[in-house]
Amino acid sequence: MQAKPKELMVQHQKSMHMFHRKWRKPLKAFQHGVRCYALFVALMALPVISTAQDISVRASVTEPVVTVGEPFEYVIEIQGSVSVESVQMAKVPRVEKQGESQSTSVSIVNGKVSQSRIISYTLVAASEGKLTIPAATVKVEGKLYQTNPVELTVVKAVAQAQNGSAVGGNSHPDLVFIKPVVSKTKLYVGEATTVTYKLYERADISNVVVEKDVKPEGFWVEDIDVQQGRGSVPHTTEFLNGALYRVYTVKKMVLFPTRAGTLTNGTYKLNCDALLTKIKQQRGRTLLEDFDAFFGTLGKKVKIDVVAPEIKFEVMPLPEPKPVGFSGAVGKYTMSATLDKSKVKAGQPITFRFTVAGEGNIAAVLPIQLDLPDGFEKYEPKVEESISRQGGVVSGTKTTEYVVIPRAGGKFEIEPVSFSFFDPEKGEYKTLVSPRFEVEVEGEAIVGAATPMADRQTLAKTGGDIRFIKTQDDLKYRPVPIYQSVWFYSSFLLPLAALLFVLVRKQQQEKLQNNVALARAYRASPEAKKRLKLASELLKQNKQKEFFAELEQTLVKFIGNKFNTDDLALTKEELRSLLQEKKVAPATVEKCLQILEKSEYYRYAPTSQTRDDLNAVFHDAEQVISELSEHSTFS
Amino acid sequence: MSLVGLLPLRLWATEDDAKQLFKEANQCYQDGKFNDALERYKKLESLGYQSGALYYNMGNAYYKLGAIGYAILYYERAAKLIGDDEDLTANLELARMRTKDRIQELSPFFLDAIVERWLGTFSLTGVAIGTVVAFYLLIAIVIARLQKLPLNQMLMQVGFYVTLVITLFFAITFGAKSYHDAQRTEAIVVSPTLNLKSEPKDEAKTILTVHDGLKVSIMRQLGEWLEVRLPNGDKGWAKSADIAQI
Repeated sequence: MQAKPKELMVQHQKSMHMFHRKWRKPLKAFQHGVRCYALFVALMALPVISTAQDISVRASVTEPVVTVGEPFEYVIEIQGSVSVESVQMAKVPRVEKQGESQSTSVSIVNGKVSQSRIISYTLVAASEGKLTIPAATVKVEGKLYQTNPVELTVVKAVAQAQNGSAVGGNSHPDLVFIKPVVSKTKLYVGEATTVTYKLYERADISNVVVEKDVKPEGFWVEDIDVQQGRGSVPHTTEFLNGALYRVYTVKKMVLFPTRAGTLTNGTYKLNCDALLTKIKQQRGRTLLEDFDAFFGTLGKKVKIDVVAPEIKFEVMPLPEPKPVGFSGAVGKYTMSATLDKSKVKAGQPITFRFTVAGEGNIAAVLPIQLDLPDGFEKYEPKVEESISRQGGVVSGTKTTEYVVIPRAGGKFEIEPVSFSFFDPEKGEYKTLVSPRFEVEVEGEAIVGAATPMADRQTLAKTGGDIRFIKTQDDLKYRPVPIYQSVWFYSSFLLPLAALLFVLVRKQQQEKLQNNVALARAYRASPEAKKRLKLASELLKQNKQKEFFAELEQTLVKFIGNKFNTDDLALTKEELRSLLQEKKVAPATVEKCLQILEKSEYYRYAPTSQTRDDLNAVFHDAEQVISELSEHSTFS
Repeated sequence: MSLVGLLPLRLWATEDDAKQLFKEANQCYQDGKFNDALERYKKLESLGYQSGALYYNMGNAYYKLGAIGYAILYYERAAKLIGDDEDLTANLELARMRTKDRIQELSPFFLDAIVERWLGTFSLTGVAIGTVVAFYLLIAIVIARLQKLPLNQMLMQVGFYVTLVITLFFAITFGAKSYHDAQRTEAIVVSPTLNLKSEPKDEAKTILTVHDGLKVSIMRQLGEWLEVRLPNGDKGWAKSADIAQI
């Protein structure tokens, strides 16, 4: 790996020269002239042959530094012919040949046939030190060719391990170790750095367990999926300080620092079982070796902690000044902005779609903000993101989709949206600006599609303008609300007063009607006066009979009314006791009875009476009624 | 300044001068000088004059000047005085259409809707007169019946009940309208944009932004802050300067 294997070409001229030298000694015996001729012929003839055959032979090893006990490959390549008859290798001390294989290849290019044969030997060096594999002799098509000698270094197995993880806990750093690979340790906030942990081993490890995972503080972590476990991870082999290791990628992540300063990601610790071999077998894995392992003759299993040290990151803050609208996006992005239709009817939706795509922490990219003029109704945007971690690079897209409903008609210009980000590679800010959108909305100027039908009708009815002012003035100076005005409430008093008056009067009337005694007493005097008047008329007409009848009636009825008794059934005695009971003066009672007696007498014995007598009776009656009227009714 | 402004105002304090000023204002409006017209209407109002026509005309002047919030405010004030006026209804509808907010009203309980409609049909004065007239008629019928006047008894009977129902109707309407009027809970947003806050302080979160001309109900007052309710039932706090009571 560090040095390329030296390859020495044995040119045909050179081999020819050697060939010539080989034959020189026997030729010494010949005469000088012949010698010169022969030399000439040989010189002339051989190039002709070699041009036709074009044979070359070379030797090489796959690695210049090998480990004691580790097999390595020694390859002899014969170009130009496949009919190799024999290979003679010099015996190399402390090197053991373990096997050999041959391969042949024939190819025809432009009608020219080229052939080659590769013979490879698996060799194992037994001790350390510088080693030279001397030239081998190859017989091709009856002729002998010699390869170049090959030099190589054999190192001791224990001393050769490269120490990438010289941290306490690893008892066998030469057999198993972890090498962290970091893409960047000095970076900006938000910039991506890839950390890969590679496990190197050459001790046939098993049971790899993650004992302590990394703890990156101050980072946004995107884990790259590597298949855990030795068996499933596609591994490569790597020569490190002359030793061959199997390499597994055990962890891979992309870190985005979220703050400036010196940050670490913590240590990473694995635990595994390793097979320690006492004697390194040279045959590779064979059934026999497994058999040996089973019986514990080959080596022993030990637990090894493998620790990767923590990595220090120096995180720089983003440079000032930051552009307006910068929201912390770092990486490499592009933006696309689309509008699905630029001509639309009012009330129908249009869709703005902004896509930011590129490398970087796409999850931290904020949705694009859209500013709209008046008359547009904007809904909450739909934000979608897709993140790819392919190849250890975090990239993706973030799409912000706005559904917008124009409510008013007209032509509108929509301000371009912008997206700013920091490009850490160039160390500068970049602002992407979308084109300016133009939207033509068909519809009435003010009335949107959302305007109810009733509104449209009103608009049509009024012609879009208000009605004229009112010219009649009904100005009132500091008016009192009618519900507080005295006039309003007092206006109810008048009908109420009228009603009250009517009610009182009616009640009085009813009282009179209901109380018969009072009514009769009340009516007695006027009635008696009326009858007396009638009686005096009769007297004037000289109708004695009728006069007395009327007089008697008047008196009896009057008393009946006055004292509320059944007047028709009154006898003289009853009358006397009634009047006495009512405490009427005895003289009046006597007079009253006298009148009644006289009346009775004169009614049934009609004798002619003097006018004076009749007048006297009438006056008596008048006097009695007058006296009785003044008498208290109920006493 | 206020003193100088007040002096000429005093001179107009008589009824005739007020009428003259009203006429002048109307002339200004007719000539298209809406600002001058509005200034005169405002003077009349500040003097203590009120009328449906004055408020209606002020609404018109504000509308012409583009102040939709104030236009609606004065139309609403006029509606309290002249009720179901045809011109007023048309203009108010037109002004409402020019407002920016299209807030879906909570569909009211159908009885509320009926009551609202019924109250809106009459002016307060109209209902007051109706109440008085119906009451007089009712009392007259009662008296006639008490006095047993020689009238058709059947007719009197029917007449009594009909009048009683009419009187009660007017009285209840009057009571409801008076209560409604006295409450003064309705208000109009007059500032062009109003941020409704979640709490009565400036730093509070803005719940919603509304625009002039929106009718809101005032729930309560806390210093200079008013809690208002939007037609859709949302509530928020606004400064009292941004809204005007009808």
